[in-house]
Amino acid sequence: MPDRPDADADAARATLIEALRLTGNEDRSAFHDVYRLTSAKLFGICLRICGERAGAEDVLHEVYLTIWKRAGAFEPGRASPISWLATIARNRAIDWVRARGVRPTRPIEEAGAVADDAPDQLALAQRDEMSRRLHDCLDALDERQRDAIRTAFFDGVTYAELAQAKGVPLGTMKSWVRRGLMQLKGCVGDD
Amino acid sequence: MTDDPTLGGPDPDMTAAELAIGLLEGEERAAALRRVLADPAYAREVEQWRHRLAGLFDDYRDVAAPPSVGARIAAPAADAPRARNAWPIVALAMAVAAAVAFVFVSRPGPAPLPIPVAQPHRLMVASLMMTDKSAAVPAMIDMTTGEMSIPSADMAPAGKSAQLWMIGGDGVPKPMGLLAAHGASRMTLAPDQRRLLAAGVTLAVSVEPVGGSPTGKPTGPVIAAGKLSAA
Repeated sequence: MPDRPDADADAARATLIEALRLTGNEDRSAFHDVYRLTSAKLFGICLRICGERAGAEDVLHEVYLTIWKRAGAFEPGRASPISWLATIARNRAIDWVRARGVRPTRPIEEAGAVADDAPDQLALAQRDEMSRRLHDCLDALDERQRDAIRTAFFDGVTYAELAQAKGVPLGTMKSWVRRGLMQLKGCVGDD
Repeated sequence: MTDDPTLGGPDPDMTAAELAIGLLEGEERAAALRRVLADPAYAREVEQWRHRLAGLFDDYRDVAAPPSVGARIAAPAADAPRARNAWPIVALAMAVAAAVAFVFVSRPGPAPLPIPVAQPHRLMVASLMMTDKSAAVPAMIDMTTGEMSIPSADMAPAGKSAQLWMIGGDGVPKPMGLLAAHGASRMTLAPDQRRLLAAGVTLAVSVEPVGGSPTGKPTGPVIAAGKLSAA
């Protein structure tokens, strides 16, 4: 593996961890750094799951209010900072969609294509070891299983929505996903 | 479908992953949440799945956030959240996240709280973060029956009692009961107590003399706290 992308990623991670730590101490300027460093990623998540701009913007706003309040609880040893932030964004976007009870029929264009096609080189370079392993393991799955798991994750959908979107019975969809997850667990491991 | 090689035999139990991903809904989701709260090993499994799948976040496409959001977050709005206590109903995904990973010890604020009856959910949960950040202890309340359960935590030092309080919008701690000295705590909340519970209400545990605070207010240090959310 080339050293530079990993070194850059480590530096970016350290910067974000420090900005989060300072945000936990109510440092507004650090909070703005967190926003500047992460808002494009988190907005991409919100937009993809909410499926509409206005909703995604509201959710993004809530997400950063949550981050402002919770930054002090972030524990660098337990999760990567961007995963921690992305999980907050994804969960809040899912909450928003489910509270509303209406699911967009398809993702809006600018958030639409996640890396179902070949991801670009930058995205590949930014993957850390853990992410690379996950992607290798996903690639090893049966195509239907992989597609179901990826769609479930990216769109934040329930089994019922997933089965409907793929046009298969609910039981079939559950089997695909569960077997895929089982294989994934064995492949990725526990650490 | 029986000739499908990927469908032979019973499905493996993958609810920890399904919960982490957000595939479950309704009773299945509630059951998985109950298990998270009752079974620390299961809660760890859910967190492991979050960790395992985190690489998928890399594949969301970045989209420049609209300047309006940056503007809302800047300027006086950024001061507001810490003083504010009223939140929209926090759904289960966030409750689970709070239970296993993210904990916020709230500061009581002046804003009015949501009315419990307006909430469609039966279960309420809180993740009580130990003040020393050593652990988060889940609390679950069945709003229909008033039954509250907190797993074994042995919070109080020897010769003391751990007392549970609720702190609502008025900022005044109200006693909810004593936690068991050993093992899991179960108590049934009276309807009067239940009526005060809503998303955003803080549950806190203080160290008190054996038998509970003699004054009706916390007298010892708060050792754990967390906010309630609907599940």
